[in-house]
Amino acid sequence: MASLSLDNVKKVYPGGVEAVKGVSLQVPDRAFVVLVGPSGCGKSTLLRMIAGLETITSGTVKIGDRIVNDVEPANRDIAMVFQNYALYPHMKVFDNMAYGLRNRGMGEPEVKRRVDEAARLLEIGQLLDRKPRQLSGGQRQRVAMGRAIVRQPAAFLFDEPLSNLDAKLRVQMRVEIKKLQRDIGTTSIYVTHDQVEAMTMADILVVMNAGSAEQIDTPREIYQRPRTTFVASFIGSPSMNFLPAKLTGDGKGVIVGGVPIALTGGAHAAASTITVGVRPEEIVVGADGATHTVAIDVIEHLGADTIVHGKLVADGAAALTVRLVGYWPLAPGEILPVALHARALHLFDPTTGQRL
Amino acid sequence: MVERRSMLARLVPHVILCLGVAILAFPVYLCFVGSSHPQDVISNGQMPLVPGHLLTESYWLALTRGVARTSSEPVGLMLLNSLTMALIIASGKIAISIISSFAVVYFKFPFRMAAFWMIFITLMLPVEVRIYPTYKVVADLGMLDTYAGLTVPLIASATATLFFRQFFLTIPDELVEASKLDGAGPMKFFWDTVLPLSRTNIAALFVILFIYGWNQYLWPLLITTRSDMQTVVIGIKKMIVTQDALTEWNIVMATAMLAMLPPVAVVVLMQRWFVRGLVETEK
Ligand SMILES: Nc1ncnc2c1ncn2[C@@H]1O[C@H](COP(=O)(O)OP(=O)(O)O)[C@@H](O)[C@H]1O
Ligand SMILES: [Mg+2]
Repeated sequence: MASLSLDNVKKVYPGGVEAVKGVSLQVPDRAFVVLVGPSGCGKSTLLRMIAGLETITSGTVKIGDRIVNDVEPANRDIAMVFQNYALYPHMKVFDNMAYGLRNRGMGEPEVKRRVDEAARLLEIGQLLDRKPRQLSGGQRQRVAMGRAIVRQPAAFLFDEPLSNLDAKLRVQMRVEIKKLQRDIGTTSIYVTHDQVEAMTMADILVVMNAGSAEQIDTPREIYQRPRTTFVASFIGSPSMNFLPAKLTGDGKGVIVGGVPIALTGGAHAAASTITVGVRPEEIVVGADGATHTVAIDVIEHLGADTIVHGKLVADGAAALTVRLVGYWPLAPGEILPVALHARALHLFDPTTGQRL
Repeated sequence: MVERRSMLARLVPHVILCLGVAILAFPVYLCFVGSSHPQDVISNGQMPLVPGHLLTESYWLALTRGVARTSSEPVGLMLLNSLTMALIIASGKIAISIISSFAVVYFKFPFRMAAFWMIFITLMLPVEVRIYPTYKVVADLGMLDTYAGLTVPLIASATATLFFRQFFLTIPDELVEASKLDGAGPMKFFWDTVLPLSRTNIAALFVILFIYGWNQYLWPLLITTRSDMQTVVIGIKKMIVTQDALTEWNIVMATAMLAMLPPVAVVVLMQRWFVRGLVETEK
């Protein structure tokens, strides 16, 4: 068990692709860090640099107190769980889990003790004599986890470990991995493109975009105070609405769709034109205190929620999505009165995308 | 095939298959029959279609004595020579090509692709093409009439190298990476992962290469002068003398039958593996 720290880590692939553009990250001991971002943003590259499977172009990676830039993967004291499990097809489950221990010269009684312990933890004791091809996807996933656990490494690295599973199993394994990590307390870095996994599993969430870490914070902070429009739109489902707005001269209010809204704090911006973000679930619907009206285009009934896609009835007619709890008997073409409250608004600079 | 087809539609392919088998098997049958008749019956041009009375005698004579002329060796010895040659060629080809493919696929070294293409180009240079220089080298090295001389010049195999390379390229990269994280160095990865995964491919290749080695004719003909180094394929040829009447046809045909047995045995024994190696991979 150890802390982990990245200092301005960069990766340029041969051919000039700049996959990771200077990421710094402090991971305390026992923390569960999730790297999330769209496909191709450099998550896997970053993880593989920590594992030692890719060279580090510049910057330093520290595991515990040791700089590991030039340390072989096997000697970095980390274990990795791959997306396609990467189990040895010709070895029984037991041998798959024992392989790394035996290669390190561990005695057979201790190997057996550790494998049995991990198998008990993962409830795969009855599978130890099978070959990987005789296992289901979920079982293979557990064996891959087991192979990491028996090593008792300083850190676990996961690269989208659940994306080959069906939706139901994914939810179940997500909960189990999180619980397991809390129980054994091993520092973990987990890569995913799934924001639900990211939000539910992370102690520290790193939102990546085009090779940079856009925001590193707790999931709650990232949801409530996204630092950029990218983070704001990536986390949350449906995505945050963005509306063009004007800041009043004194910075105490914004004008959205022609309607002035007094801000609780105040804001400063270089230009008076700004972007206002508001989450679909934070728009209040009802005639009382309504500030705007929405012309409904499409309704989606999810059962627990109703999602309304429409346009703000105002000049500019910006698109707006509203999420309502429960079943709402609405129809396309209807006009919905809504209220945008000041505390629900996120203000961004429209050119840089930074939070104001 | 699950659909029910008419009697005729099922019969036609069957008849064609039976015809094919008959055409291929008939000469073998004739040879078998010929080995059981006295030599003068065959020399006279009467080819009987049912086995005669010399069956065990012909085979016994062939195995232990060969043909009656003094220079000839017993077929038992020739079979042993052929077996040794075929086994060395097959296992040597597999060992060398699996290691070279491993190097080409998993290591980055200068001129890697150049090395690969040079191996590839040797496809155009079989022994028959480079026969004089190869003979000269082998003769200068004093390897005439040795097993080394018989096998070494045939052992490098571009085909097998390509075959293993294609197979290695289908092994997922994550398996290499998992091995690295599990503390296995390159050679340990080779022994513990690559080799076990290649088992069926090795078996399939062994069948093909064993038969290739067994059937060698031109090279052993050049390189062996001593009759006790003769292989059976050459032995058969030498048993047939120009004057028809002097050829002991029953012995020749018995030898031909005997020469067919080891390749048949290899195919039959390895059939299961052979088919699996060519159609499926265990990944
Ligand atoms: N081996 C490689 N060589 C060159 N470019 C690569 C290589 N691996 C990944 N890339 C590029 O680096 C970028 C980041 O890739 P990756 O880290 O795999 O993204 P993610 O895991 O976030 O989807 C992508 O643009 C990808 O095309
Ligand atoms: Mg990836």
